[in-house]
Formats: sequence, C-alpha cells, structure tokens
Amino acid sequence: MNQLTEFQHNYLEEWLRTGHETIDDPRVNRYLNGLNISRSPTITGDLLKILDASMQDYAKSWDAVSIKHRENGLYSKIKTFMRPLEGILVDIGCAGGNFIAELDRPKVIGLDINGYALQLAQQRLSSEGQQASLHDRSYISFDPQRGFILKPYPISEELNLDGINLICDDVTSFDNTMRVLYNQGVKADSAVFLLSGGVNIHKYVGFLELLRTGKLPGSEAGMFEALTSVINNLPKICYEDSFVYFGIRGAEGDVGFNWQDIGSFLSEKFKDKIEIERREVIQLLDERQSEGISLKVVASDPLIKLTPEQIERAQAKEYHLLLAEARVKGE
Amino acid sequence: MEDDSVSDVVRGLETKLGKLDLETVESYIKKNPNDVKGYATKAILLQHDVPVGIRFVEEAESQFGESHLLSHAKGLLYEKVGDRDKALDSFKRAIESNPLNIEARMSLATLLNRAKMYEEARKYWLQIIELSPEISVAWIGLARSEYSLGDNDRALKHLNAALFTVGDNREIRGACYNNRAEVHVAMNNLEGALADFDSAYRDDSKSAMSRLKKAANDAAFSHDFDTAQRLAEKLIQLQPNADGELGWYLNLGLLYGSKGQVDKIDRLFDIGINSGLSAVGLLDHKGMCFLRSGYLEKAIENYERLIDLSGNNLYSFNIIMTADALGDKQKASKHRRILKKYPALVAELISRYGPIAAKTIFSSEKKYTYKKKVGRDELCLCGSDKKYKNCHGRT
Repeated sequence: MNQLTEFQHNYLEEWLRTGHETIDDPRVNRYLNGLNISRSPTITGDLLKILDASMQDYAKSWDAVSIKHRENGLYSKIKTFMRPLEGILVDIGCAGGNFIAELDRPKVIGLDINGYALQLAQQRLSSEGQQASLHDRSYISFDPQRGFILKPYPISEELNLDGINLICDDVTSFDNTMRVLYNQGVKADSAVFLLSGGVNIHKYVGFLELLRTGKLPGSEAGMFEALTSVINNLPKICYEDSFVYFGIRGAEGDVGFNWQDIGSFLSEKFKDKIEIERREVIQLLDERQSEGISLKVVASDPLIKLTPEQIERAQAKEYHLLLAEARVKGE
Repeated sequence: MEDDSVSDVVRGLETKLGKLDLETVESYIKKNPNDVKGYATKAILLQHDVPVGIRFVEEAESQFGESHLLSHAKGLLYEKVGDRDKALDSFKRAIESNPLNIEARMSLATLLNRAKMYEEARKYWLQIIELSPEISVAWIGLARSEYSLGDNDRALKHLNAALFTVGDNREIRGACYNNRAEVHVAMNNLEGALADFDSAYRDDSKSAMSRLKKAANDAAFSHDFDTAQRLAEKLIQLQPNADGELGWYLNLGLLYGSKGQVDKIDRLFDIGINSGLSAVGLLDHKGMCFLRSGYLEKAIENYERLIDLSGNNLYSFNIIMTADALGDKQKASKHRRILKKYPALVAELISRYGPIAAKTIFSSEKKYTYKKKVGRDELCLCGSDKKYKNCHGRT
C-alpha cells in the first residue's frame, strides 16, 4: 500500500469498502446461504488489490500511448473526418479522454470500464478548460449469475447531458449508459469508437484477422469481442440512422491484410447493425520516425512495457488509419 | 438453485413434463418431494381455488422455510382474491428472500400502482431498472407512477425509454404509445398525442380505441371541447365504423354544431354512412345535432331524408316542431296531416312525450320555439347535460 498514491489508496479503499458492503449485506448473505454458497474465499482484499493494480497499470500505460497519438495528430485526423454533428456524442472506451479533449465540444459522454482512466480524463479535460462530470464510482455489486458487476448508475439522478460526462460502463452491455440516456428519454446522436493501438501496438488489428479466418488467440480475440459487442450494442444507445465513426490504426502486414478491404469486412460482418457510408484509409507516414509515434519515445516511457522484439517488429511496418462512417440500423 | 423466477419455473416444468395440469404437477412433486419448483408451480395452478392454494403454500413453507418462489406464488394468490395487503406483504417477502428477484418486484410495483401507492411503486420500478435497464414494462410502470404523481416531464422521458427497449412486442409497444399519448394530452401537446394514438392503433387497435375514447371523454368532462373534438375526430378517422357505436358521431356532431361548423356535420355523417353504419341511426343523430345548434332548416331537410330512407313517419313529429319554430306553416301542416293518418304513431308519440305531443300534432298554431340563444340556467346546446352557464356559457 505504501507505493500507492493517496488518490489510488482512496480509490482502492472505496472499492474494498463497497465490495464488503455488498457482500456483508444480510439479505445477500441470506440468499447465498439459501443457495448453499458460502462467502467466496476469493472475495478478499487481495483479489481486489490485484484487480485494482491491473486497472491502474492499464489506465496509465494506455494513456501514455494515447497522449503520443494526440501529439502526433492522429486524433485531429479523426476529428477532421467526422461531420460537424450536433447533439450527444458517445466516445466508447474514452480512456484518458485525449480524443474528447481534441474534440473540444459539449454534449459528450465518455464511457470506459476503467475508473482510473476516467479520473485521468477528468483531470486532462479540466486542465484544458473543459469541465467534465465524473461518474466513475467503482462500486461493485454482487450478482450470483454474473459474479461482480459494475454498480448500476442510480437513475433517480439526472445528469446534465449538455456538458461532458464520464461514465463507468462496460461495452458488453452499455447498461449504465442506457440508464443515463433513457432516464432523460433520449439516445445518443452519434458515437465514436477508436482502436488506435495500445501497448501491444503491433497487434491492434488482430481482430481483423479473426474476422477473416476465425482464428486468433489472446488479446486480439478480446479486441474482436469488444468490437462485436460495441457494434451489436450500438442500437441500444444511438438513434436509428445516427452516425457512428470508427478509427482503427494498424499496420499493413501484421495480419496479411489489405487495408483497403477493411471497410468491406466491417460492412459485411455487421451488415445487420451498421451500414458503412464513407471510408478513408490514411497512410501514417513513417510512424517509425518523426511523423508518427516514435516507438523509441514510447519505449523509453517507463509506463509502457515493450519487448525489443515488439519494437523491432513494429518498426518494420507501414502504419495506416482506417476511418469509417456508418449509419446505425434499428434494433 | 432457487434463482429462477416463478414464470421461469412454471415454463421450465411445462417443458420438462410436456403439459401443465394439477395431476401432472402433483405426480412430479411425489417423485421430487424436495424440489420447491414443483410446489411453486402447483400454487400457481391453484389460482382457481385460492384458499386451497394458500393452505398448500403454507404447508410447503413449513417444509422449505422461506422461499422467494413460494412467497411470490402466495402473493399472486392473494392478489387473485383482492387481498391487497397480504399480496403486497408476500411480494416483499419474496424480494427479501431473493434481492435480485425482478419478477416479484414487477408484481409488487404493478400492484402498488393499482393501489394508487405511486411513490412506493416508483421506488420499486427504479430498482428494477437498476437491475436491468432493458425491461420496457418497468419503464412504462415507472412512467405510470410519475404521471399519476403529476410529473409529466419524467413520465414522457420514461415512456421514450420504454419505446427504446420494447423491441417487436406489438402489445407492449402499443401500451407505450397509448400511455405517451395520454401524457401528451396532459401536457397540452395535442399533435404529439394524435401521432401517438395513430402509432398505438397500428400496434394494438383495441387498446388504442379504448384509450382514445377515454381521453376524449375526459377532455369533454373537463370542458376542454377543442381537445375533445380533435380526439373524437381521430377516433372516427381511425375507425369510422366505431365498432357499430354511433354515439361518437353524435358527440362530435354536437361539438361541431356548438361552433357553427355545419359543413363539418354533413361531412362527418357522410363518413359514417359510407363506412357502413346504420344510415337511419346516423341521420337521427344528425338531426339532433342540427336541432341543438339551431340549424332548423337543415334539421327539417335531414328529417325529410330520414323519412324517405326509413319510411318511418314518426320523424314527421320532429318536422312539425321544427317547422313551427321556423314559422313554416305549410310544412308543419303537411306533416300534421301525415301523422294524423297513423293513429298508432300518434299514440306512440303521446306515450313517449306526453300531452305535449297531442297538442303539437292537433293544434295547428302550436308555437314551439327553438332558441339559438340559450338561457344561462338552461341546458347547454352541446349536449353535455350541464347548464349553459357551467358549460359553453361559462365566462
């Protein structure tokens, strides 16, 4: 605990407290006893600390890369591609809020499952003169069928949707975003989902190979699941016919894939949910050097853990940014 | 694991047993005496004999202890016989036993809404939505509570939410639109209400017509005749044959008459006749609309058409009174002569209207006056059965 900052410590304490609060609730206990389920030995502070540390690490390391994407103009390219739409925009998986900061517009909901990332986003936006309300309470709730789940957003509270709101939510359900929007009888007018490359920056388009071949292990599968979840759930949070933007950064050759075909893949795979209207592939001129993310700079960041092999492989690639504009189909 | 809802359990057992009747379920209980699902299912099947059902649940509770399935089933039995307090208590016990039981919360919140305990109902609807935001009936229930509490803004938002979550279930979608139409009426957004009644009609015409009639009646009773008129017009537009009911033609015709919209009366009754409703009945109502609003020439013209159509000379009596009021002696005399040829009709008129009928028929100079101007203490011309001063003459 000594290595934790005060902020981290408080966050963890809050998580632990609410976790215990839930599990100590006599009604939940009675219910669990009725099912002959004893309080799980795994529900301990240690487990939560591990989870918490993992989320902190992820938030910070991803944010470090995201800052560099922004510095190198990746987000401004995406912003330029987007129509100047009015209304509520949802940034799905907003992480540390770098793209929201770049957008510099009102009526944004940034959602992420990682409360630490949302804390970073609020700090970033505030430092740039954009006030964002944070609804990241890391409350957890116990559901015997699903295990621990995010605490539901209390719908007796109404958010000011004219401003920027950062909400803790999970792309597999969008439950909290739904509660926040539906409570005010609205859906989002547009959405954006960016996959611009995290720590494992040579693997970010792995999900596309999965689309093609149905095979990919590890994190790529997770990434594909995230994309599938997001697209399948879009009608829950966006109006029919609203625009959704995808920004996917990746390297030619990683998956033996022709970038020009990516839009077709998305179109075909998700034709029941979205209709691609416009797409563009921008070659990111030599990200190995000064015009893109300098991997040397990334690698020198203590928060980002890359092996020499990863750096070498990544440096050998041509980087592209796929931009796609799609219409959301009704449910 | 006792984590299913009552309906899941009943459906599951039906699938397992192939059919669902008392005999089959009792046989299942004999073979599986420790499975509470069998007992909960039998309790549901005993809704036709609630005292027996409740005794059965209590025996099962003495065997199993507290069970959310048994408590929920017991609540449904109490609700069946109208024992609201015991039903509410049983549903609450089901929720206590299983804090994640959405279905028991639905039963509880629905009953609380019916019992007009809207504040408490609202609390449980919110809990359901916090457990799962995709249950459209929970949003509808929440909106009903809020509407009843006078919070129309929230009710409207939450009915939008209900529509976001409703999917392909036409009956529930119809309920969303009907409820939203009602809220729109309360918020004086008549265009919104009419559009929603249109949508509701497409999904569930029967419910939409019933809610539309209620809304039109409510508007008329609260003297909002403009709204009542628009709603009645929508009603007739959606279903011109109105399930054979002619009353709405009379109501709307009287509203038109009270505003001097004679052309609209003509067009309205043409719609009814063209839709296959009884032309005689409609023309009878149409005559009433002209008479009540003081359009006597039109009334006579209408009754003459009615006599031609029906061959019923009773309508000559209406013509006599109207012609007298107009001072059209020739027409009055003509119809007096006609009526006098039919003693049976005269007898019927006298039995129906008393001595005034005899005087009207047999006195050639009877002066019967229809007034376009109504006294403040007289009944209003619109047919509301209220005094003019309390109706259209209200200042």
